[in-house]
Amino acid sequence: MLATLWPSDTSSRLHLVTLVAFAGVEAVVFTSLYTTLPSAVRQASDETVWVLLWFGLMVLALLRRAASAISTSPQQVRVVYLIAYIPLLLVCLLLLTNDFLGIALAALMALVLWWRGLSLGQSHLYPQSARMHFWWGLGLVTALLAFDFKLARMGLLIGLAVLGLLALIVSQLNAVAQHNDISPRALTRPAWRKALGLVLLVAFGLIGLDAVLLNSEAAAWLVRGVLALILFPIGLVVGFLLWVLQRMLPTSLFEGLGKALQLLMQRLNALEQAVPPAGDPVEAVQKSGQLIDPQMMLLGGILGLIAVVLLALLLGMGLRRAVKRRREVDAMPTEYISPDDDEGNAVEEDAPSRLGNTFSRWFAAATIRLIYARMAHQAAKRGYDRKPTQTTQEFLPALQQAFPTAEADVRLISDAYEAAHYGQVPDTAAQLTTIRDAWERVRRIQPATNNQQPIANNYAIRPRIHHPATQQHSARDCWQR
Amino acid sequence: MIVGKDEAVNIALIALLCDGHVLLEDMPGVGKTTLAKALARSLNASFKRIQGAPDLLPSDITGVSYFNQKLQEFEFRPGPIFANVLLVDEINRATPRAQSALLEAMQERQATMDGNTMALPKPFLVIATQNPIELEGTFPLPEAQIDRFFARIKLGYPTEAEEHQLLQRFERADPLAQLQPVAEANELLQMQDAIRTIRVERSVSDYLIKLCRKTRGATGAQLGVSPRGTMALYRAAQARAATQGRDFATPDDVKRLVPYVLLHRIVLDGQARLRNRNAEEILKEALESTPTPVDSV
Repeated sequence: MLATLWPSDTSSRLHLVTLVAFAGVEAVVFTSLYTTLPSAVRQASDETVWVLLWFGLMVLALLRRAASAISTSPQQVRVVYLIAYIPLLLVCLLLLTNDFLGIALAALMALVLWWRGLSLGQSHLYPQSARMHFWWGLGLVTALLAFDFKLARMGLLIGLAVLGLLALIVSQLNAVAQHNDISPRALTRPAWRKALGLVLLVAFGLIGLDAVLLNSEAAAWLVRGVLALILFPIGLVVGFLLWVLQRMLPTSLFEGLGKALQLLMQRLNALEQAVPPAGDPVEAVQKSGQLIDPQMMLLGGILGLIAVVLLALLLGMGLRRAVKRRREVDAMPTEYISPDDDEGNAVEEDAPSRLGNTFSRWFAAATIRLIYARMAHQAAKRGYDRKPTQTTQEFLPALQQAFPTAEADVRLISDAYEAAHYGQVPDTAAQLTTIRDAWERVRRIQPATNNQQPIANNYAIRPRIHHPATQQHSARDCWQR
Repeated sequence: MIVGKDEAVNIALIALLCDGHVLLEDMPGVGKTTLAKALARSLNASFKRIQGAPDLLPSDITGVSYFNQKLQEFEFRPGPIFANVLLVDEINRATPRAQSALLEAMQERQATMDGNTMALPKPFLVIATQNPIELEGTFPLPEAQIDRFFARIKLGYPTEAEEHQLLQRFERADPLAQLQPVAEANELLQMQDAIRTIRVERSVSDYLIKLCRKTRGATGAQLGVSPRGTMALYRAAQARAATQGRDFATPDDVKRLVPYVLLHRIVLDGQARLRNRNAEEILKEALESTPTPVDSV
């Protein structure tokens, strides 16, 4: 069993990397559960608990992976791990706390970790599952940050979220290397989305860098600056909404909300400091002169509510996708369920060269797919729409009519597209250059005039009607008799 | 050998590569038996033929145990089913009892006689023919058996030019007699293994599955395409890609094969029959409502 822990093929090794990263992110999440305990009953540092949980998750996931190579039924594996793992974790966590709440929390964490560890070990290195793990981890980290906003811990948390993002990238690269589904949409996203994504990536990267390496005041100010840049527009929108709300709602409601939030915050603070509040908490706060501005409290409450709703939406969408995917997989005949990537990855390559080629291969395939999509878009503008049910070969005659005098180039692009989408990713830069040159020639072709293409001209008047030539081709192809 | 029926020949070849059985269905005299014989002779493999008739017994298909008086023991004499290529001519003229003897052989690739189960030789291909218009004295194949056929092929009448070519070709001699094998049985097995390595991208298999699933809840369909049908279409797409010289299947492969691989697996309900609705319409609707996995901006 131990021999199977370190696999010989690149795909499985990459899987291990992502698994370790995801375990790290999820351990952070579970650690923060421990930090919610009152400090008086916490016996160990947060870092100790995090290391313990990370280690536990990884070991469980790795053992589960190893067990999948052995012919054991999943039910047996689950039961064995449950029996062996839960008492172990309980003992470890009991050493860290001396409180009933802590024990209950430890039991809960043990159960959740058991489930998550097995899930991590069972998951394959598909981009879909990696994405699910990533959003799951990031969503939980965000939720924690909303309740526990301390910069010192935030650096660690977000740094590990970045680790999860890296794992996602690794899994995506691995998928490309294995010619799984890759979409040219990444290249066609609007510029503002690309810019926003880049800014967010830089912000998270800086935070992670600060937390892990620099830990300096200057870096912290830089991070705060970047975050302020990101949060400022959001603040403007929220501020405007609040202003509208203040105008619309009665003042007494704000006062009531402010008092309620004050009370809540006071109780939370009292719990954190393990000091019982003396008398009425609101009066105590007023006496100590630390009265929180009710408007600020309202702002915080609304922001928190928005964050919770967004988080719930994200989690709901993720769960919906997961359930849908599971149903699809359940409905598939067993022959169609993809075998383990490790088994399918029979051709072993040198890992560095493979990773080195991966980017160029992904770029070549995505470019060819994008060129084809643009060619179809141009054809649609000229009145030759592709029906959603048409295949590339069925659409080819219409494309050739849309770009007269470039039949050979259009065919070349269509064939290359088929190969890039459904088959092998092109390896050579020369092939990509050929396709690009063909596309440059095709795009320069002027639309047909009235005399040359009367049908095309009709479509200029009625641009959203599918071309009859393609429909005839479709019918002829499929129903010969 | 077969004039102007390239598509039908290709489908038969695809079925052969996928280790599937073929049902040839059409009018008398269009070349069903000739195609079956030509296919069998193209392979250097054992070939047997069964003529469907009402008095055909299961033992006529699987074989019979007889008492050898010289050796004083029962001896098994294998039936025609123990061949690489089995031609069952006019299968719907055989009784259901005889037809059912073929069921186990077609799916399980084994035959059971007197409680003993024997494996059939590899490769094993059943090519059955039937005439759809004659109903008197025939026993329509049950759905379970029809589903075991990988593909159903209709040859159709040739065009005028094709008939001219046909007359010229058969003028002096029978080309079937001069047909030489082009592949050995073990080579076919290797090809069948190689077909499984053809890549079917996830979006293509998703498309294929959606197509098959749409037939199940379709109006007028009592039975849609079975999971066996889905698997057959998947394999057929792989084989077609190989015959086209590609190492990956495309949605085109799937679409082109749908009428041959799925059509015979759809069973219409009573109302659909009364309204003259046919399985082709159901499949067409499925094809016209399933988007193909092609990128767009």
